[in-house]
Amino acid sequence: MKRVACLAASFLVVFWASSGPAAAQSLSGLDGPLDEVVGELSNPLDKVKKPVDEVVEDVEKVLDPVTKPVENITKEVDEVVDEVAKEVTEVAKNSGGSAGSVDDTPAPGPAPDSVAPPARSTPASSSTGSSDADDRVAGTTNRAGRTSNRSGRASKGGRGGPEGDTEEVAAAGNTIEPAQVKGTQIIAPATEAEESEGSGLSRTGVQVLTWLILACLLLGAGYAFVWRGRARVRAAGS
Amino acid sequence: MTFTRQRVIFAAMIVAALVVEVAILVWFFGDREGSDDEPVTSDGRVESRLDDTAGCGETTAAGSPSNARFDDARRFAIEVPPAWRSKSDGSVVSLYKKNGRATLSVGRARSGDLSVALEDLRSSLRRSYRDLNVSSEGPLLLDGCPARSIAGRARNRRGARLNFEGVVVSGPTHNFVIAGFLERGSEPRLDARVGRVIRSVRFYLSADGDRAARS
Repeated sequence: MKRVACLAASFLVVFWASSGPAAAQSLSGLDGPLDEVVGELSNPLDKVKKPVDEVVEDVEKVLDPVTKPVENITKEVDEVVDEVAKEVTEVAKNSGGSAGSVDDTPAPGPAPDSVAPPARSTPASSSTGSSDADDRVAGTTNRAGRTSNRSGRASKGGRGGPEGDTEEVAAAGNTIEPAQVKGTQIIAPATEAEESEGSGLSRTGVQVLTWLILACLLLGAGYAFVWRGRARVRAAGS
Repeated sequence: MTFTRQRVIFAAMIVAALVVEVAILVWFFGDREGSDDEPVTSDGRVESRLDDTAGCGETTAAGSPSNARFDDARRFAIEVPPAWRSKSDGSVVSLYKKNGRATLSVGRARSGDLSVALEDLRSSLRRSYRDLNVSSEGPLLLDGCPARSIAGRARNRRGARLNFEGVVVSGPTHNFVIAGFLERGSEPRLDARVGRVIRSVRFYLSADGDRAARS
């Protein structure tokens, strides 16, 4: 009977220890990336990494004279496009348009006594001003946003038209960059430590560790109780 | 100590272990960001505080929270959570999570019937993303205004696998469109966070009383 109880308790502990992380993983929605990361980690990438890096360096050296002129041309094209955009903005202003807000911090609500700003019968479609306080975000989003604005305006005759901003709003998700797995290090672009909520791996690791400790404690306690019971029974029998 | 007492203690320990298991699960994966005063529906979505009122939108921006971001015409505002940054460009307000794992935009939708605006959003999503898969669609109230939402999965042009939620709203003055995107599986609870941000949008009437003019 004691052996059965001990076996049952052990089985329960092991079952909980194994099912706990699985349940937790399903609760948190960590279905895909964990498996992918584990798969990536198991690959012997490190052996291949060094030769590949050397080849990449060689290729970069060869391509360097070519890429620099291309970058210069891109900059020139951007400058020309910016000038055209400025001209368009001025024309829009002269025709009664209004510039958009350019501050990055959330605008506090007006004072309770203040009246809402004057109503505009037309949306701020002539606005071209946009800003990013953070250069990193600007680097990843501004170019894409500007492109979409241009294409939207060119194809629809300006934002705020009959079709509204749907195209631009719907395309916002294209600014998200995929997390890269490089060797044994997972690189999430621009992750900030102060707002990190814990990666899936770290959280699952803590969960597994907790369960292991708990399982060991329970097994030890169970064994101690059974052992003490046996000793007492033996003492009583003798 | 009798054998019966040992069994009782052992059973109590097993029960205690079960309680500890539940406590650990709740501690690790409970929604620590949610506030107690937010009404939550059965499907986990946070309802607008004005859902039980008849009015669509709000007359003044006086009660808007300090972290609200307005569009240039001050027709709508959206709350910017901590660790997010915002940008306004005319009638479009965009929010970005600082680690780049999520983004959200609000703007004006096609005017007219809400189903037309929703179809417009759907076709725009189809053009912008690969492997678009809409998994759910349904009506909801946002700031007291009738709205329709679609949600699903897609892959963006950079190859990131995304979850998205799009909402078109028949606001007091215009139709509005909201779209939130997040990288799938990047962070626990980010889905819920994006949903909360979407549902924090408030729509405002002008001083001239656009609601009356519209009705």
